[in-house]
Amino acid sequence: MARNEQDTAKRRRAVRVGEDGAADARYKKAKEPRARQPAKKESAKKEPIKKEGTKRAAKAASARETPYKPASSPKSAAKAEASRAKSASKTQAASPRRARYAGDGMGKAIAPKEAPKASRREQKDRQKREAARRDRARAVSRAADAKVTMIALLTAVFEALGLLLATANGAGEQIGICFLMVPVGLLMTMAMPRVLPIDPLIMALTNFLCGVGVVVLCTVSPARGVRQAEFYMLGLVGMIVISEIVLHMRRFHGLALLSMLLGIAALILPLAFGEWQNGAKNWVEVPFFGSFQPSELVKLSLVLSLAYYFSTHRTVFQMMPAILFAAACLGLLMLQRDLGTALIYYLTTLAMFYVACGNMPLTLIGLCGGAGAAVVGYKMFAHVKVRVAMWRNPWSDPLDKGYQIIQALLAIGSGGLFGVGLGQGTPEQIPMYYNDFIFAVICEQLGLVFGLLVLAVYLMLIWRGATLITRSRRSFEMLLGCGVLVMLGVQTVMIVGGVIKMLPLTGVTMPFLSYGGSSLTSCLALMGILHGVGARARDNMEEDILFSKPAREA
Amino acid sequence: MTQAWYQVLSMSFGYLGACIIALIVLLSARKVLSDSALWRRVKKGTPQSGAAGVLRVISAGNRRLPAGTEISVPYEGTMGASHSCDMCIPYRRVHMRSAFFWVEPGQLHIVPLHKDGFLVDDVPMGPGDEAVLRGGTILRVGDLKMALELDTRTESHLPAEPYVTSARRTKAQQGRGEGIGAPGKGEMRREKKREEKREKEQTKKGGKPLKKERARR
Repeated sequence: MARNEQDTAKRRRAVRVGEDGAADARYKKAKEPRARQPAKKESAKKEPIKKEGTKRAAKAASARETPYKPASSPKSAAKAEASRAKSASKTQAASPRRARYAGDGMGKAIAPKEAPKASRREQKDRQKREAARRDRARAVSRAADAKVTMIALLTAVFEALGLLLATANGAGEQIGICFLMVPVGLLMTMAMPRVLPIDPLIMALTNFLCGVGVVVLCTVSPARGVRQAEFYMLGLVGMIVISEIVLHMRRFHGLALLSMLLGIAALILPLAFGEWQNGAKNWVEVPFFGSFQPSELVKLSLVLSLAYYFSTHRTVFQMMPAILFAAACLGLLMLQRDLGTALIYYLTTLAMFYVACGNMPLTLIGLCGGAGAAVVGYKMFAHVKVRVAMWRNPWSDPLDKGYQIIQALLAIGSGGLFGVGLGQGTPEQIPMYYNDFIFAVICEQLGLVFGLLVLAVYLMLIWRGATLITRSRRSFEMLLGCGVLVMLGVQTVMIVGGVIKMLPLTGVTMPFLSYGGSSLTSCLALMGILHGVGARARDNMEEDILFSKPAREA
Repeated sequence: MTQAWYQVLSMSFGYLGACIIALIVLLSARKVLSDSALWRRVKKGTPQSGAAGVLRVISAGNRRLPAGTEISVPYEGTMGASHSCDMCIPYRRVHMRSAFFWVEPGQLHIVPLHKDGFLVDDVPMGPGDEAVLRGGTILRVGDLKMALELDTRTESHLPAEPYVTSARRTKAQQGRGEGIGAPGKGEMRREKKREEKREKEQTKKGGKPLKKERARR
C-alpha cells in the first residue's frame, strides 16, 4: 500500500516537473472536473506537442507548469534541472528499457530529456546532403539569379541613358519606340526564362549587344535606330519560336529535308530576281515587306541540316547529302559574289564535320580545298583582287578604293581610349558606317576600351554557349549548338578583322550590332537554337536527378 | 541643352558605358564559372547521367586504356576505335567500327560488324551474331577485357532520331552490315566462302558445322 502511494507521488512529481506538454495535459485532465474536460481537450488540440530540447518547448512547458509549481528561485530550478538530467542519464545508462518508461509511469513513454547529440561525421554528412540538395535545385532552376539580374539592370541603365542622350542630341520623339527595348529586355531576361526555354545569361548578353547597336544607331541615324528596334522585337519572336522547336520537336528528318530545299530555293531567288548592289547580288525585294538577304536566313537551314546528317550518320558517304547541300550553297553564294557569307558557310561546315567525326585527314583536305578555291576566286574575280590589294596597302588609293578602311582606322584612332562621346565625332565619313563599319563607330564614340569589352562580351556569349552544348546529351543538339557558335565567332572575327585591317574586308555584318533586319533576325534565331539546346540539357538533368534520388535513398 | 553640356554628358556616358560593360563582362564570367562548377558538382553526384551504363576496363595492355577506365555506354550507336563512334574504344585490336548496339531495359544488344568480332563471356561472336549482355558480362577483344555495368533505369531513353533502326538491325543480324559501316560486300562474300569451305572441311572430317555450333551456343 505504502509502496503504491510512493509510486503515485513519484508519478505526480515526474509529471509536474517534466517538460513534456502531453504529460502535463494528461495531468491537468485528471485534475479537472469532468464538465470542463472538452474545453481542455480543445486547448490540448490547439497546442501541438512540442519536442524536447528546443527553447520554445521549454518556455511553453514552464509556462504551463506555473500553477502546479511552488515559487522557487532560479537557482533552485537550475539545480533541479541538473539533477533531473543526471538521473535521466543514469537511468538510461543502467537500463535503456527503464529509461523508456521513466516518464509518467503509466506505460506512456516520454522522450528522453535530450536527444543524443549527432556525431561530427553525421553532422557533416547531413550538411553535405543539404548542400547537394541545394546544388541540384540551383542547377535546374529556371530563374535568373542575382548576377544575371544585375546584368539586365545594367543593360537597362545603359540603354535608357544612351537613348535619353540621343533624344537630347536631336533625335527627338522619333526614337520613342526604342525606349520599349528597356522593359522588353528586362522582361525577357528576368521573367520569361521561368516560362520559356530561355537561358537567362545568353539572353542578357544578347540584349546588351542589341541595346548597344540601337543606342549607337539612334545617335548617328535615328531612323535606322528605330527600324533596328523593330527588327529586334521581330527577332525575339523568331528566337522564341526556334527555341520551342528545338526543345519540343522529336524528329528532325522532315524539317532538315524541308530546310535544305527551302535553302536552295532562297539562294536562287536573288540570282533570279535580285539586283547588283555593292558588287554582290544577294538582296531580294519583296512587295509589302521590303528587301531581305536570303543568305542570312539560310544559315539556319545549313546548321540544322548539317547537324542532323552528321549526327544520325556515321560514315562520310552517309553524310554526303548535307555536304552536297553545303557545297550547293557555296556555289550559289559564289555566283552571287557574296564571298564573305560563303566563307562563313565553308568554315562552319568544316568545323562541324571535324566535331562530328574527328577525321583530321579529311578535314585537312577540305581546308586545302578551301585555300585552293580562295586562290581561284582571287584569280577569277576582280573585286577580290582589289580588296586584297587594299588590305595590304589602303594608302595606295586613299581617295577611292582604300577610302573606307582609312576612314575606319582614323575613326578608331580619333576615339582614343574612352571615345569622343556618344553622338560626337564624324562617323558619317565612313561609307557603310551603320552596317559593316559599326565597330569603328563604336570605337570612335565610346572608345577603344569599350570596343574591346564589346569583343569580350562576344567571347562570353560563345563561352556560355560552349558550356551549354557540352552539357547536351545527344550529338544532334551538340552539333546544332556548335554550328551556331562557330558561325557567330567566324562572322565576328571576320568583320572586326576587316575593320581593323587585320583581314581583307569581306562585307559581312557584325552580329547584333549592325543595322539590318535579316542579319539581326537570323542572329536572334540562331540564339534561339542555343536556348533550346540549353533547355534540353536542363530537362535531362532534372530527369537524372529524379532518377538518382530513389537510388540514393536506397 | 547647350552643346557644351551635351559634350560633358556624352563624355561622361563614355566612361559610364566602359564601367557598365566591364561590370557585365566580370559578372558574366563569374556566372559562367560558378554555373560550370555547379553542374560539375551535380553531375558528380548524379550517377549514370545520360548513359545506359559503363564498360569498365579490367585489364589492358594499353596506356590509353588503363585498368579501371570507365567508358560510358549510350543508349544506342556504334562501337569502335574511331572517334566518330558513339562508344570509342581506342585500342589497336578493336576495329574502327567494330559493332553496333542498342539498349533494351536491363540488357545491351550488340552485333559485331567486323569479321574479327570479339568474345562475350568467352563465347566468340562474329558478324551477324546478336549478343544480349546483362550487367557483369565480360567483353574481350585481344588482351582488352571489359566488364559491363548497366544502369538500373527501367525504361530506355532512346534519342528522337534513332540510329539503330529496325532496317539496320535486320541487316546487321543477317550479317549484311555494309549500310552501317561494316566491311564491303566483296569482303563479306569472301568471308562467306571461307566459312563454307571451313564447314565442308569439318563435315568431311566428321565434326559438326560451325553455324550449328554457334546456334546451339
